[in-house]
Amino acid sequence: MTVLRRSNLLRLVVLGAPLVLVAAMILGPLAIMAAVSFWKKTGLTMKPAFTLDAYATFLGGVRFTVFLRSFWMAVSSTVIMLLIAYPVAYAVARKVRPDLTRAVLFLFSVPFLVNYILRTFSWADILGRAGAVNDALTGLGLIDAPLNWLLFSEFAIYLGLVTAYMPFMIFPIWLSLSGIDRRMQEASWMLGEGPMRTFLRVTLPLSLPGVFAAAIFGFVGAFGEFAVSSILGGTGYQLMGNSIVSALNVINYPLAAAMSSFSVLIMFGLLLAWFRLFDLRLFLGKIMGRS
Amino acid sequence: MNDTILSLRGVNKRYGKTVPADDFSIDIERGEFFTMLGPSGSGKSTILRMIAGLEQPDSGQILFEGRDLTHAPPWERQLGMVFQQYAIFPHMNVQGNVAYGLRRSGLSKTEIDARVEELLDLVGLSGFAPRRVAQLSGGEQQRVAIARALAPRPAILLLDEPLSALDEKIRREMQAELRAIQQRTGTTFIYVTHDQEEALTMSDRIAVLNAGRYVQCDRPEAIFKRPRTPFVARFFRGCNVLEADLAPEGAAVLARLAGITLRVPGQIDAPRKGHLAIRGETILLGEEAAAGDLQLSAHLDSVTYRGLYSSYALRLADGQALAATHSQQPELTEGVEVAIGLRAADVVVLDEE
Repeated sequence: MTVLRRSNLLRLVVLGAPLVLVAAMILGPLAIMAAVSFWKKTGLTMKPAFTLDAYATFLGGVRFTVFLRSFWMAVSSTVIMLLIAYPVAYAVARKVRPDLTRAVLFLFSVPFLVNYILRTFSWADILGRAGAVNDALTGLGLIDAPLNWLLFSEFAIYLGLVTAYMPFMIFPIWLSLSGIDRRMQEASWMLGEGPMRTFLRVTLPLSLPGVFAAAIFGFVGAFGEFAVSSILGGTGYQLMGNSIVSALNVINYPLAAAMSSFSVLIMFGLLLAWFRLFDLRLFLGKIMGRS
Repeated sequence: MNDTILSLRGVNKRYGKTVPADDFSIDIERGEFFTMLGPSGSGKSTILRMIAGLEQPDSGQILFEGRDLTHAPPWERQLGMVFQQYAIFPHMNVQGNVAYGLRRSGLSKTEIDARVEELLDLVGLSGFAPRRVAQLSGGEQQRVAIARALAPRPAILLLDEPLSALDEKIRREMQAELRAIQQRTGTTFIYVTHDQEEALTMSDRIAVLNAGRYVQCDRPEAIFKRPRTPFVARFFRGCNVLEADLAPEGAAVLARLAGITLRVPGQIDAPRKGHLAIRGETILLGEEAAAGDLQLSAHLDSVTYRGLYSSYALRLADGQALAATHSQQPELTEGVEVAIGLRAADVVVLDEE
């Protein structure tokens, strides 16, 4: 009896400790942020209150345009990244020899080993008027004058976002695809459906949980990005992250908190949609069941 | 009947050292239940997958109703296939699975629904159409897989060990049902299994495969009672394979076994060392022994009670083991010499491989 209780106690500690940590490190700050978003700004400081002033300022002002732009950039870049990551993940899952899979996947994780500020600045260097791309193009005689739209443009931001987050998205899609039994594909072939139809009716639907996980990785990353937009976007270009930082810079903490809370709520909504659309446990079980 | 629906002509396939098909040729009749039986590695599954188009032969031809299918992709062959691990589409319900192959059939929505219900009825799953796959047992999933494969009315259904993942009781039920489904639909079945009982129960013809070749191809009873080689004889439980010195004598063979010469039916060209096959249940024991054409004596090592029958472990004078079974279960004393009798017609002279 005592032994049983002791093992129960041990279980409580082992399972409870991470829970306490998560609560203290993530949920706690989030709660403080949510609370501050309702506080009142008074000159250079703020005082506890329950007012929607900060939300009104955010939703009624230019910062909401920034939010919409940020949202659109995040959605469109996520679509672009999916269109690149899916074929790559498909190739790794289906075309690469099994013994090389780990090595190839490792290559896709190399970008994460480079500091993201350095990575973003090197894009600025490569894309600039005197950068490698313009040098090469003028050198080959393809263009007369350096291209201006390469840097400090939406193109540069898309490039920055895609290179930063797309490799991330390969992993969940690969995981989903490689978990699909090859017999599914063969069964579809035997029922008269060729490779394209089989992909659309069997492989793609079965890989959707991975696609959705990848989309969340990409969307969250792109939406919260501020280095890419401030380095590659040019002067004055702002995404949500930059806008929040600028609110902090003018010591308007309730506004920054309101903008952050609003963003967190949007993310939460997306995660909820994922839970409803796909059985998350099924997906996790697939990951756990693989070594 | 002599209406060939599918022919394999000199099909070869090699993966490194294993040879799943070694100059393999066979003709399959329309409407028959044809079984390829063999141990794992005998090539039976690979040959089935080559018929399906999921593997390519290195050389040789696969003809379907006289048309060369050797290089046609699987989705153009219009054959049905049932896999060992069911391969039911988990993102669709039962209806979606069974209707999967009907997209290009030109049937209307109502006709498709009717066809799905007809097939579910055939496999004993009436009313299962709206069910989710996750709610089905293994046996039910395999029934759905059979219904799905039969829905587009394939001329041939290929079955790759479809029952081996099921437990004993359901497997037996399914054996009878598969046979019934085959006869009701008139579809040609090509069935692959390593289970001798399964093959004997369901098939019109069995081909016993070993190392990419078929050793014997015949009706179940003929294969069971008159195996052609030691390999086939050993494949069926309860068959004794004994070494003997053989010599031709007219239309018969003289076999010298354990110091005694037996005259058994058969035909060989010259004296040689060889093998005899004797099924355990044909051996006459105790008082019956005298009724046999051939008399031997053997040492009875042990008797084991097995419910429907008892088995008797015997040893001949030259040390060769002989296992007999008897449903009357005569009571014999263990550890003594007993008389055994054989009917000459039950002793099979085997070809060497």
